[in-house]
Order: sequence, then structure tokens, then C-alpha cells
Amino acid sequence: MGIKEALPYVVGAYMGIWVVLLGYVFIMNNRLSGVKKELGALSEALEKRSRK
Amino acid sequence: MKKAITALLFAGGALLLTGLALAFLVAPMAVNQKGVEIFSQKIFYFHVPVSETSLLAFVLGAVFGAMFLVNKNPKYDFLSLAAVEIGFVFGLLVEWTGVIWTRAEWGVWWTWEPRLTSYFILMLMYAGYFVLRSSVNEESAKARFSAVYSIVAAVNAPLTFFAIRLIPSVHPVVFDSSGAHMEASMLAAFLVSMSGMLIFSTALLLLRYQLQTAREELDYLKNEFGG
Amino acid sequence: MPAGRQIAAIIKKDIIAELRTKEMVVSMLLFILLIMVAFRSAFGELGDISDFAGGLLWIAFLFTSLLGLNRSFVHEKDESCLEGLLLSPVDRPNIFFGKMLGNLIFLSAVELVAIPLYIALFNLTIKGSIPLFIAAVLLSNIGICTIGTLLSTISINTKLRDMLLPLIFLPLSSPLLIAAVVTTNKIMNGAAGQAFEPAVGAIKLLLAYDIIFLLLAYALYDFVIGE
Repeated sequence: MGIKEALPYVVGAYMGIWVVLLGYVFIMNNRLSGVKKELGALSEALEKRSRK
Repeated sequence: MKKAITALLFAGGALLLTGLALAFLVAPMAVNQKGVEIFSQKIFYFHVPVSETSLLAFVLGAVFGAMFLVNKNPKYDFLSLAAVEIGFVFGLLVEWTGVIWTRAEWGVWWTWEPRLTSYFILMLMYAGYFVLRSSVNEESAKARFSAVYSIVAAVNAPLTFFAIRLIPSVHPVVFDSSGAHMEASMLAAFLVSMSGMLIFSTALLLLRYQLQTAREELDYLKNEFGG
Repeated sequence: MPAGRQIAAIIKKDIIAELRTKEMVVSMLLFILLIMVAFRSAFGELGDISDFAGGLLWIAFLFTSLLGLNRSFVHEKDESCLEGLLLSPVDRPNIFFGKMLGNLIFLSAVELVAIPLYIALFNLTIKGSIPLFIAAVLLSNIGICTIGTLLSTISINTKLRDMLLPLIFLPLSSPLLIAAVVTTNKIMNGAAGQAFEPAVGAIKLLLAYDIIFLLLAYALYDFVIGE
């Protein structure tokens, strides 16, 4: 199969890899900052309570 | 930690892009036995590194699993989970690129090609890992079962590859991507992509591990707060 | 108490319990008969199924073994026998060997009835060596019961309980299934010489699978049965 016929497949394969890899990084990073935010709020609340 | 992950992500990404450039701009077109050029072979410059990385991640998952069983340190359980998850994501990419290549070259979306079939079974095996994890509540049991399962699954993987070879296969080898026929520039593109993939996946592993640690910490604090 | 006596005691207990109720062996046998009816309706038009008769046999056996494997622990768990067993002065690995051999005996007993029935119902003959056929079946059974006992101990301690076992047992036993299918097909068709080559590889694989997983289960069983 020549370049012309195979091109969409090759592009599709590489696009898939990049989308998944970058998507994974993005999702993990998002979740991490979400958890971190919650952690911060919670530890603050804990501190407040212990001071009372 | 955060800085290291970012650095690794960028280093890996840069290497991957270099590999991509080498594969398309420098490496010569692959030619089959009949002398016909096959452009779809370019898929292999990422397909092979992705599959090796995924296998490596599964092995790593088993190693961390064993370390957990020895030390009982939750750290290793998180690392094992992170490795297996990354192995699984990369495994999906193996199937994706494999299926696309099959479609481009053989005109069908799926053939029971030995390696793709082995990977298919491997994916089913590791899908079980996540189901198993989610169906155990108690932390210590969850970690123990997952560790045992990750070891058993990793030992099973090569046996699956052997077993699949016993089934007579319809398709001949179109070209060998690993043999001595590979030109230096092709090999260079492979090696650069491979190292890029390894560095990138190390970053993913650390990122996933960090997320798991943060989650556990959160759970712990929530318990403190509630109790 | 020496290991042999401990193992024998567990097997004896399971056999006595089974002889009293006969629920496991009877339901396994009925299940196999029902699968055969399904085969008949699926492949009835073909008339002669001898080309893949060995393969069909293992579909029936693998799914039937799931029934037995689940049963053997569900019942221990429900009646809190497992706690009793753990409190008794029996070494953990011996619990594994006891349960595994018990499962092996029940599965083999069911097959002993089912194989002649299958051959008679579908007008088949074993053209190759019958002792080799029996050896292959036995080797496969050992593998099924080894991995099955290990995994059913895990699954019974999860929220999904017996729902989980097929999800983790079927993919992990796939090398076993493939090797068993190849061997029995070749033996039943009377393949010889070059055509028999895959079966030799398959028997070696069965042997390797059995040894590897017996050792692995022995090493890991302590971690799955509880702290």
C-alpha cells in the first residue's frame, strides 16, 4: 500500500497515541490538583478544630 | 517530585517528537519481499516501543507487588497499581495501532494475528485486576490480593504468548522489524522513540503514584476529621 | 501432623461432605450435558464435529470447573468452615494442596463420566493414543485446579464473590485452554509426525504451566487466605 492510501491510517495511529498519552497526563494532573485542594482545605479545617 | 515529573514529561515528549521526525524524514521507506514500498510500516516506530513499555510496566507491577508482599509497605502497593494501570493504557495503544496497521495492510479490522491475540488476552487479564481491586473494601486485603494477582498475571503473560503460537496462523510475516535487515537510520528512529517512551512512561508512573498517595492521605484525614 | 496427613484430612473432609449431598458433582455433570445439547443445536447441521471435538470438550470442562471451584469455597465461607480450617493446626500451603487435590478429584470424576458420554453422543473416536489422551486431560486438570483454587480463594473474599471468579480465572487459564485444545484435537484426530508437532509443544506447555503455578501458588497462598 502506497503513501496515499496508507496515510489516513498512519495519521490515525499516531493521533491516537498522542491523544491518549496527553489525555492521561491531563486527567491525572487534574485529579491530583483536585485531591491536593481538598487535602489543603481539610488539613486547615482540622487545624482550626484542634485550636478550639 | 512535581518538578521532576514535569522535566521527565518534557524530556520524554521531546525524544518522542525527535523519534517521529527521524521515522518520517530520515528513515527510508520499508520494502516488502516483492519490492513494494509499505508506508504503513511507519506505525511500527511507535507501536513497538509502546508494546515493550507496556510489557515492562506489567513486569514492574509484579515486582512492586512482590515487594509489597515482602515489606507490607503501602508505597509498593501504590507503585504496583500505577505500573499496572500504565501497562494497561499502553496495552490499549498497542491494540489500537495494531488494529489500524492490520486494516491498512490486510484490509480487515481484526485478524487473530498471534501477537495481537496475545495482547487481547493480556488486556482481559489485567481488566480483571481492576475489577478485583474495586471489589475489595479492606485496604490490606486489597493490596495483598492485587499483589498476588499482578504476579500471577505477569507470569502468565509469556505463557500466553507461547500458547498462542501453537495455533496455526494464517498470515505470513510481512517483514521483520527486528532482524538484521534494518538500516541504521531505522534503528536510530526506533531507539529514540523507545527511550522517549520509557522516559515518558516513568513520568506517568510517578504522576499516578503521587495521585494515589495523595488520595490515601485524603482518606486518612477524612477519617481523622470524622472520628 | 505430617504434611501428607494434613492434606489427606482436608481431602477426606471434602469427599465426605460431597458424598453426603452430591450437589457439586451432580450439578457439574448436568451442566456438561446441557452444554452438549447446546453444541448439538449449534453444530447439528455439520453432522461430523470430529475436526474440533477436542476444542468443544474444553469449553465444556472449563466452564464446568468454574462451578466446582466456586462451590468448594462458597460453602466453606458460608458455614464459617474457613475460619475453623485456619484455626486448626494445618499449615497454610497444605490447605491449598488439600483443596486443590479435592477439586482435582471432583473434576476428574465428572470428566470420567462426561468424556465417554461425549464420544458416544457425537459418534467420535480417539484415533491417537488413549493413554496420552488421559495424560493430557490430567495435566490440564491439574493446571485448572491449581490456578482455580488460588483464584477462588481470592474471589470468595471480595464483594463480588463468585461473580469475580470467571473474570479472573478465564483469562488466566487461557494458555491452559489453548494447549489443552491443541493436544486433545491432535490426539483425537490421530495426527502423526509433522502434524503432531504442535501437540508436543502443547504438552510441554501444560507441564510447564502446572509446575510454575504449583510453585507460585505454594509461595503465594499464605497471602490470599488471610492474615
